Amino acid sequence: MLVLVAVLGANRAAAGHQIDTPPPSPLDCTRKPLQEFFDDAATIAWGLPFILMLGGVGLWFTIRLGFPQFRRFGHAVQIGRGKYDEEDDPGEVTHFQALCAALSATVGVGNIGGVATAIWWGGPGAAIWMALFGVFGMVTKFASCTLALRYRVVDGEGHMLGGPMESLTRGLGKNFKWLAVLFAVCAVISSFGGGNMVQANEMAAAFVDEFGAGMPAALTEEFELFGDQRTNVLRVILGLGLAMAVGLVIIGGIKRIGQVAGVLVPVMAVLYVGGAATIILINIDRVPEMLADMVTMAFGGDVGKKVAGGAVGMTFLQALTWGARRAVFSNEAGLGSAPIAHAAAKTKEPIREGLVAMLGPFIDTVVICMMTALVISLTGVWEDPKFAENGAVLTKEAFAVGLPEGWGWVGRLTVAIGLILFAISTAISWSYYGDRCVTFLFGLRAVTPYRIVYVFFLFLGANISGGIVWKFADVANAAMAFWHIVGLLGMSSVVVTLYRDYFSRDQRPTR
Amino acid sequence: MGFACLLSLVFPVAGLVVMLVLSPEEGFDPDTGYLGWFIAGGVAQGVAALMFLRPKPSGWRSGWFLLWVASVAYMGAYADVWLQHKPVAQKIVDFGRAGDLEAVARLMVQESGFNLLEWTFAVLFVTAFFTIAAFVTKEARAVYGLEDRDVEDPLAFKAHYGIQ
Repeated sequence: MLVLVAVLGANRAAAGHQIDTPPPSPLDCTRKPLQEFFDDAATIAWGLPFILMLGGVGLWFTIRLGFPQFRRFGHAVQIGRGKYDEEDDPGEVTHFQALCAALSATVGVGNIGGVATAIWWGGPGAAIWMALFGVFGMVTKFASCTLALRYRVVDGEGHMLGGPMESLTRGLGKNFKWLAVLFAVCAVISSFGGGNMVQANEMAAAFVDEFGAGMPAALTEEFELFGDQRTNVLRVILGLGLAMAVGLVIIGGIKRIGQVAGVLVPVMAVLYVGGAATIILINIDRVPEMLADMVTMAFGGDVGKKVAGGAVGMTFLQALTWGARRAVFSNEAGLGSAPIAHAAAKTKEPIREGLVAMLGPFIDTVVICMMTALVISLTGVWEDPKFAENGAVLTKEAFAVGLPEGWGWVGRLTVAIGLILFAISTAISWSYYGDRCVTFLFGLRAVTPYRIVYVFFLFLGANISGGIVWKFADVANAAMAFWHIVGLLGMSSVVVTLYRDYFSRDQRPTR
Repeated sequence: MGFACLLSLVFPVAGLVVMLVLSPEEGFDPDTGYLGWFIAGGVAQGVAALMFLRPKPSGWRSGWFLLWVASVAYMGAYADVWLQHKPVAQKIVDFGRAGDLEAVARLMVQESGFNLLEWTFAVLFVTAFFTIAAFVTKEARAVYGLEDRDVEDPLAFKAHYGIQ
């Protein structure tokens, strides 16, 4: 991460006089140079090298294991449904609860705003690449979660401690513990950024945007919090409420997180997917044609649609780049975060939890993102240049336009509530990721202080625009994958050995 | 391991070919920023391949370190191109908002060129990075006499849980 910042600094110094900079927008005038620096660092860290790296890992494991995302999908569903659950298995939560805890962290703003941004830039064809990257991401997640289960340990309080930090230490050997430490440090930083303050801010913004207009002026009138940060009473109340709610959940550890996620994730899915499915059903006669157009556009074909704010036709690379980027951003396969939640699952067989984890990118990217993409494409709102780079607003508009006249408010409300729930659930699960990494780094004594700081940051996130801090956390978030992937590929033979051994034995349901 | 070494030599050369083919066609002048980073990365990756040919711990350590250097350099080249790409992408957004389709179409040619360059450096980065991972495997380290004795047997858990 520091290297990236140094590289970017050197490049900016060199490129500063070479770029034919366009006239600055009013937004640019107010930006501080350091803010812009970290904006660029975050975008580059989540850029093409990162995407290709994660896509390549998925492809590698897919080929090495013989397409397990297709051949073992049915078995994975059966395990997720609890057919292989055994009461006396070691662990803290069921396969389903572990999946929900991990899903609640990944299903988020990326599924709403991220898909829209990809389509605005890459056309509807980007959605096809998004789904394809989701399919490869399934195997990456399978491999990383299998390793997390294989190398998990029990901490001093009897809780499971697993994830890339343990896999890297115990699977690669103590000479590579520095990779594990770097991963854990990056994960803790990320937990305060993308997993915490950003989510709190998104939640507050979505609430104020949807319901603020009807509230008394005393609640929405802004006042200065500190420095140039401004907030209002409504945001203070929302921040306090969120901090208390999340605090009550995370104090109960993974068991309570699993229970809450086990309720929240299905509710989110029914609400959001139900809304999207309704719009798709209303336009069902146009779906086959739209899907055909999407496939054509994915490979650079011109179907006479506008893209990137007006250009007719599009390039193959543009569709691929944006589709892949948003898939990785959304399902987080290869980042190493989800294995921390899956490591708490009750099972003796690492492969079983790996297979359940494989369903995560399928639900997140192949189902939810694809449905969002269909809604946006069918309604045609993505061709409107005014939605440039404002993904969440574009999706909201698509949900409003897609429903019959007079029902648009239901669509907007669905997206707003979806954003709020997605943000809350993500904040809950990320606390667990940070909690486990803090335990790995400093021991159990650091957990309570971490949780207190985490909850305080939630309150802060709802009320301030984090700017540099958030972007720094974004870079840390991407950096997690770099350390994780070295270990994941380095231990690929371990995954293959476990996989072959598991399927060489007779696997019969216990229920 | 020989295959990984070969790839480490082939990919930088292929990257150079792409850059030479692309530059005149897309109206790109080889920029000293990304070219410098690219040369640094290519040299580091090439020397790393040669280091790995020595089956000794020092060969592994030197080669592995140089691969990290190559990865950073390729990331530097990518970052340089991205910084040049950014204002063009912003112009596309601005012209798109203003409804100037002709200007957008003209810029899309340049956009494609930047995309191709970014892909080139991204692929080079991934090659170097995956080679780093390839040399971390237990099997690869054994060739250089660097086995870790504290690494657990992957199937040891079966005996612990009584799985047959």
